Amino acid sequence: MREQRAMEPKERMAIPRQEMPEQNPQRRKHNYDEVPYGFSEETAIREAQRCLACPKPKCVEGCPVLIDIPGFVELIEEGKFVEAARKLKEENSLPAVTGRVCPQETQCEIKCVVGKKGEPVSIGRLERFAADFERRSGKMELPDTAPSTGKKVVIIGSGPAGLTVAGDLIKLGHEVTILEALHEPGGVLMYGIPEFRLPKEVVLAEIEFIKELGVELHLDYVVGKAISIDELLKRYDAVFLGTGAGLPMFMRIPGENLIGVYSANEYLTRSNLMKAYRFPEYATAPIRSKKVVTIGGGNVAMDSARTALRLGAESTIVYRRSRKEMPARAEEIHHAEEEGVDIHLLTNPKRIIGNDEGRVTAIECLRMELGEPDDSGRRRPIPIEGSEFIIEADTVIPALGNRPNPLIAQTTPDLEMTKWGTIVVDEDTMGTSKRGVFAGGDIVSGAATVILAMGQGKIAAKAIHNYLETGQMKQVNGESTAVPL
Amino acid sequence: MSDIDLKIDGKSVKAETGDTVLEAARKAGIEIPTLCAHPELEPSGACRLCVVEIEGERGFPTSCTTLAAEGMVVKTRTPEIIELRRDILKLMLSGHTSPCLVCLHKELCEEYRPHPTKSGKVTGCTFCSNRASCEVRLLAEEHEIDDLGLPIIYKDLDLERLDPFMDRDYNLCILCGRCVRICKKIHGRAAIDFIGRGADARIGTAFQRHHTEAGCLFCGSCIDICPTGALTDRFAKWHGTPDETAETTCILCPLGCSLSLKIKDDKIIATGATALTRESRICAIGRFVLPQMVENPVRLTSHKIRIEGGLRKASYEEAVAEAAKKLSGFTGSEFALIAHASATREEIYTLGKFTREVMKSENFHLVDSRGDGIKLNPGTKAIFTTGDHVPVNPLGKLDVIIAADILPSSATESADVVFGASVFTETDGTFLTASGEIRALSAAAKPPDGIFPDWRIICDIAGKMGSPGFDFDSTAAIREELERRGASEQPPARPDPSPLDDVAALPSAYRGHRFTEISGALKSVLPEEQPAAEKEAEERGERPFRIIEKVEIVPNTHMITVQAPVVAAKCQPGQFAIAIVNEKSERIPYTIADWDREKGTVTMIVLEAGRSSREMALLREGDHLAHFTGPLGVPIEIKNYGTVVCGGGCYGVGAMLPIARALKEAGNRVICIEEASSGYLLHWQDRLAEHCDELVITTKDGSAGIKGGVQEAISMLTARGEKVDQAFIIGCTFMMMLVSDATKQYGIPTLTAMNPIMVDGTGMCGACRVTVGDATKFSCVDGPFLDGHQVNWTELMQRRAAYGREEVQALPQDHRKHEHASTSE
Repeated sequence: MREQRAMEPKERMAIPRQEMPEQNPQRRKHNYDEVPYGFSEETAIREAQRCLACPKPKCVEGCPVLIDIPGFVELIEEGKFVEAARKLKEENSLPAVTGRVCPQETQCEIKCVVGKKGEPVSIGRLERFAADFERRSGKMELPDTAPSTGKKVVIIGSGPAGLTVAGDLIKLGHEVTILEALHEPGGVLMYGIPEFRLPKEVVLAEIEFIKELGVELHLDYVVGKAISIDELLKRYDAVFLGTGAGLPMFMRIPGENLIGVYSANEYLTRSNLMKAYRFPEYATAPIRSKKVVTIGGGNVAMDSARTALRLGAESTIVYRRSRKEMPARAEEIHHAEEEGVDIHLLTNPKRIIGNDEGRVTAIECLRMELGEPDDSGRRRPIPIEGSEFIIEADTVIPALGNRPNPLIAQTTPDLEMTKWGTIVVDEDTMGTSKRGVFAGGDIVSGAATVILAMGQGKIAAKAIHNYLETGQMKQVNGESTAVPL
Repeated sequence: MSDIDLKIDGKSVKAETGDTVLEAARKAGIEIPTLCAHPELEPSGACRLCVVEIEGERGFPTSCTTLAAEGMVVKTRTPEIIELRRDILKLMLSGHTSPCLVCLHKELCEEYRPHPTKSGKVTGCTFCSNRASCEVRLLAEEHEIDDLGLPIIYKDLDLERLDPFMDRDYNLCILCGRCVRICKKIHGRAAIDFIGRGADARIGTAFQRHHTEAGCLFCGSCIDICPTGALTDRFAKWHGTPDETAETTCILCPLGCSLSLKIKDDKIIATGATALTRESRICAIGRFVLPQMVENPVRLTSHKIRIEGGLRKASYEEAVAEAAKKLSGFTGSEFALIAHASATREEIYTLGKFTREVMKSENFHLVDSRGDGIKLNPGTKAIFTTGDHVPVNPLGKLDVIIAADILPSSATESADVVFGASVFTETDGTFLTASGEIRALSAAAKPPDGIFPDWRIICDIAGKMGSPGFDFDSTAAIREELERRGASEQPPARPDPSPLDDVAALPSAYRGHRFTEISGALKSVLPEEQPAAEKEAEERGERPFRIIEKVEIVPNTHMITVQAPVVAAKCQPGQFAIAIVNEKSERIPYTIADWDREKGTVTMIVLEAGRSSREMALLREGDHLAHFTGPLGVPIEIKNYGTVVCGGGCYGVGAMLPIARALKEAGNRVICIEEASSGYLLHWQDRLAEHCDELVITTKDGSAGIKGGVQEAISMLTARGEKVDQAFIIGCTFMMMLVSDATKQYGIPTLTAMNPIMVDGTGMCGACRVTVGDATKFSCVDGPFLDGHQVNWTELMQRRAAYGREEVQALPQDHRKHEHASTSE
């Protein structure tokens, strides 16, 4: 293997970025199988050879969980795939998930030096390859964990933030319990992101791994209702809130409560979590539509529109700004269009029209133009007067994002919240206004990405560890407002 | 056959010797009400509704058993007779579940609830699948019976639904005996008979055996002839009333029986015999399984082409072109066509002609209805199959597979082209029966859009391949050619024993799809291996959410207590919990009716009204729920309001208890109002009385307490000068709407417990949104108790009915299997 390492940078730069084979769009729009097939061993090694192993790797700076990217890529180059996966897991408890759903093009890969002159190293695809290889090899070896500290941590929510905190803290020797409200673990990874983008088998395997590390998982446990945060603080030394942004937003336009208007959460949950596509074997009714209009331009809108195709409907997206402002990953928009989703840009719904039975028949939209930039820095869409037009539809899916779920806030009055209902935290520690309570993920950032939630989970895990060791909510060396015990 | 002259109601009437007075009257167009009489049956005089007056005879003889005689003078509708009939009907209704017939809110209820609730036991017309065609109900309406004035007798018999296809609720039975007589008439000896005497008389099998053991052949005639909802077809019952019927020939076995199709919105909802005679009788498959096949949720209703390894939807023309292209590379013994024998002569002829003349192959296989698939000749490279006839292994070795079928199979999964095809009820043509008779089919039902019969598919492919001689435009044209050419046709072998005489001889498959896979219920007729794994799973270790107590407190209403310490520790009045019975069930919210924090148990009142609540109702003590989550929702605010009314009906009676208890403890004057359809449905009065200052009982039929519902009770309270400061109402949507209307008039602030469809119950999906005034509320996190005066009730009712069709499709057909569902996971 030495000769490979001895490859000249020039030789490495000459290797083209390796393609990852994908299911054909015409085929995949009728099935729930994952779209990309993943790298073969040969392609993975070839792609890994493109990495220059920079002494001060920029890519790591772009990674919210600070993975040793050159380290794991080098192990792949050497054919040590299982070792590469273990290297990933030092910093990231869910590499098979993040390898699939991270926006690498705006994080690690955008910083890649190889990318300055050509295309960057496919870090995400390599991550996915290593994690899948390890899982399929059956050699999921458990990492060493620190000796027991006797400290107990409880994590609320088993989504990406919670799983990250759990994985990190159990390795540090703490006793970790996760409480999940739904009947399946995984949060948005299970109910939200569809099978064709993130196979549930992958998620369940990662959760199984975390359980094998010794994390205790309780389902059907609604914190805020079944137990309060104060009660948890009596039983546990620290609490992490990773409850996500589970309260869908609607537009407050006429007709929004007609039959046939579903939040993206409901549309996706019926299909993903409740397995409605196997109705009537599974009891939850599927949504059978002919024409589906999804409103929004984020990843969730893409997921909904693509699920609609798979349920046999014609699928349209309306988005009020232009393509440039769409928050979805470029790859997701591309996949959606390739499969036949019709995207109407600069279009905003005005009202939803129904019939006597209260069922949706159409949606009336307005054309928009872009004006001056707004608070978010994106150009504000302005309606063009008199531009109303009708799109026929029997299903309308507002995919406009989520507000934070109110269950915990309702019962924890001394937790400081923003006016949007998110939890106020110290960004260096993810500590909340309540002693011993940390938070991360969408409950803090509104509706963001899986990896951002995991990044916050990492920060929180470190801070919780510090808190358990020292009793300080802030790192001792931080320029802190630390409160001593 | 000499004519007899007699006078009925002053009209001169001619009758024939042997005619009864009833028959004579009907011939003359004079209607006499009857229930036990039926044109297909010998008279029995059981119901006595057809009483008349005959001059010179004492009393009131029954016209169905009295022979018409020369010179007879008959009166059929004197005031005295009409009063007598009303009394007979009232007596009958007092033993039938009839509160809805005499309810004050009947019209409004039927307007707002056009479809009956999919209950288990029937406790009123609102819960009865036979509501639209009930003869008892019709007569009660004709005789304007709006009050019984008699004690209500509910027989309290078990609902029998462990048999394959039928539900039997003998609590509705009026003992007319039609079912017994039709069974005797058709089968020679009846599987059922009157058992017991006097007040205990009822219909059943000897020694209470299972119907399959009592010799029942499941011809369904008893269902067809029953005037009430006592006997029902489990699959068809909730699909509504057919809007047309049509006849065709059943070709599922070589007998080729005549079949009557009951059609609604172009869909077959039920099938039956064309007449209730021995000659016209049909088998269990023809009577009960066919609609489940035609209307199967997974039926192939489009065509598909394989592109780059995947099957994608295609137009019929694209599929034909692709099939023609794929097949054109093969000839002779490389090609085989496998068809099912349950096909019309025209189909068999065109498929055979295609094989021989277009493909130049002799490999034309006809698989009979019991066939287990065929063996392909070595060297076969391409096939056309009309069903699931070829085992998976040879399928994998073929170059080209073209499949035309109605349901998915391993053949359609691996095919290059898939045609959705018609079922025989959707095609015309002729069928050669075992007795050599040629019988016509009628294309009575409409196939799904763009779906065609096999003959058209094969002819279009032949045409596309450039072969002449396939441009038939109808089955008549094919028939003309096949008869002109004198094509050799062998009548199929007669099944022995006949499926009409032995359930073990029933046809087992259509197009290779086994009926046991299509109808779960059939498994209980045909032998099956008992799953040992289920038993083992039951034994395995301690599981959470054990059912501690399960009682059917009143018919169709179950009190279920579950071990759930997490929920029990915290639940408050007004909150709910979500139950998932088994891993395939929905998440369903149930209001918490009581709890024991020490024992860690939670009690719910469950009204059976669909699949999920039926799964709950079928649980037994010792079973486990797969999941149970809570408490959820915002508890009601417990404070001193002054005088508070708690009103509850159905499942809401139990849910009212913790609210009343807490409000009483908080110093309120608490008046509880319990509403039920009939006196025998009242429950928990003692428990409620313990926790309130006054308990007011209302029943819809007036059999106990005030006649009417909660709103009538509130009117009564207001009339006597009671000042009510706050009302909490919990029950069905219709009831809460009516009560809210009333309390709005009286200016009583009213909180009502929302019951929309929910999915997660934690705020995540928004399925449960309700318009309250100008705002949208999520019932799960903002409710369940919301301002009844501001709720948009019409929208709520519409949203609750959004999945009407799916709710019927999801209903389990096999309850034996279902009984174990909770423990088999």
